[in-house]
Amino acid sequence: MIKFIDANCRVGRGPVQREGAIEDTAALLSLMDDFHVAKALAHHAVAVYADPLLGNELLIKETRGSDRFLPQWAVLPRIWELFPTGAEWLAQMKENGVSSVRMFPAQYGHSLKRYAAGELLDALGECRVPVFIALDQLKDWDALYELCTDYPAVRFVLCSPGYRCLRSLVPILENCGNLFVETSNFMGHNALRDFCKYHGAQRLIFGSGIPEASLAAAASQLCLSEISDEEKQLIAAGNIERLLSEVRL
Amino acid sequence: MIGENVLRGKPFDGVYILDIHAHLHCSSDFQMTHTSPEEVVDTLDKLGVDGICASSIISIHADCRLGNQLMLDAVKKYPGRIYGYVTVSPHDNEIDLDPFFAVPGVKGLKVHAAFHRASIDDPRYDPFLEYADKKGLPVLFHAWEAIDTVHIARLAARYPGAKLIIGHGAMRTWEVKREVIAAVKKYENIFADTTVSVAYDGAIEYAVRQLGADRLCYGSDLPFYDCRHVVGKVATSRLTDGEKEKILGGNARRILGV
Repeated sequence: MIKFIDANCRVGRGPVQREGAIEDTAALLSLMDDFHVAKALAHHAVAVYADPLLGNELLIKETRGSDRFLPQWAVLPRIWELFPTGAEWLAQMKENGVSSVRMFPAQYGHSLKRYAAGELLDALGECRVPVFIALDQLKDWDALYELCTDYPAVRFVLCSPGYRCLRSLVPILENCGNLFVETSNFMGHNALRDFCKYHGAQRLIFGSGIPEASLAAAASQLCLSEISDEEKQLIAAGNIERLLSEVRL
Repeated sequence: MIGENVLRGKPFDGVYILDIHAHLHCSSDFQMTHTSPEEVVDTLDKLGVDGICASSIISIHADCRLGNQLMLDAVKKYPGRIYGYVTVSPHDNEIDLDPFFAVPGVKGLKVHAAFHRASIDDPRYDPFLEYADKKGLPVLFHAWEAIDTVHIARLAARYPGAKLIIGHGAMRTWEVKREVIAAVKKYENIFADTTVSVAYDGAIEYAVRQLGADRLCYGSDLPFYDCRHVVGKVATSRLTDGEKEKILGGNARRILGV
């Protein structure tokens, strides 16, 4: 049986409550149990939609004491003294047991160019902290290419690439070895099989996309794919475990 | 128990699965993969899915007549595995439907008004809907927006003999679901399907509570995108096996007359 780590999970309340959706941590844990998800890399809705620092703080408070959640902070570049420097982010992450981050440049309205985000991304790259970023946070696919080439030391995990992505994604994968792909909504017909054939299973990271997307769907997609059990296990948990084990804070 | 082997990666066994919303072939606007009838059937074989009812994307996105002919070829080549929808276009309403329905595997009509730059209530669809009404045929609508379901509900009253399927309707936004729930409750000849690329956990259970298990059908959009996530989502849901059997294939069998 495949054991999972869900690398794309959001906790806390966002602006939309969906009918019949899981509503709290207890329900989320029950769902994780159903699908053999040992742990989830979780970020917080308040960090996404309201206050990054408060959301990160809530995340730590709400997941403290649980060994099922690996807190993932939302980070953004320093502005005056409103947000930390890269070094300060890293120190706080170490203190709070955070070993991966997400960026929301579209939501937060900041640039990823070196003049704006270079100090932060260089610091994250130096410590090998995986940086998760969803496709809808980027202006276009060229922005993803520029991000990967501007910061070759950073390991970027592209979240929710969609099922229409191949013509844009494949050339970036072929040119940028520091790009990994999270599987939620990577739903082309036989997409996981094809990805493994052309790019290797090592660059796929399992994620559910909870709460917008579904753990049941993501787990089914992976388990029913025509790839070996070894490849499934790498995607389900092995790859993210490897990336996290190489973080040096 | 249905779905217990999904996490083991085993094909479905012992439950009849018929996908009521599938396609064949491809469109140009993004890279679709493995879209030929042969490749689609290969996926069905690997998963233990019994069959699909499909329209050709070529008939929707480009040449309606060519696509319908290709659908027909596939239906003839894979009896019992590929059933067919004849796509009808408001721009080509001289088409003679009788020869299509002389082929046993052709089961219904497909209306994709959005791609044909029309509205579902466009009067140019009337002759086709009258045909479906008279013959008791299913009509699968692409129904992405709430207004599409409003139109379908009106058609259900006008064409009570036709079986109208709200494609994509069961697990979309609240605005869409509100109309779908109202339409299904009001008209016995309306059904909804599960076709959607992204839906949250709990969506299928909510849909069944609102619509009833008899009115909801498994649909995937294969090979527009993969079918594994949707069939797995239904199979591993917290529904009863009886509800799953209906949704995965029992209802489609009844509606399509398979």
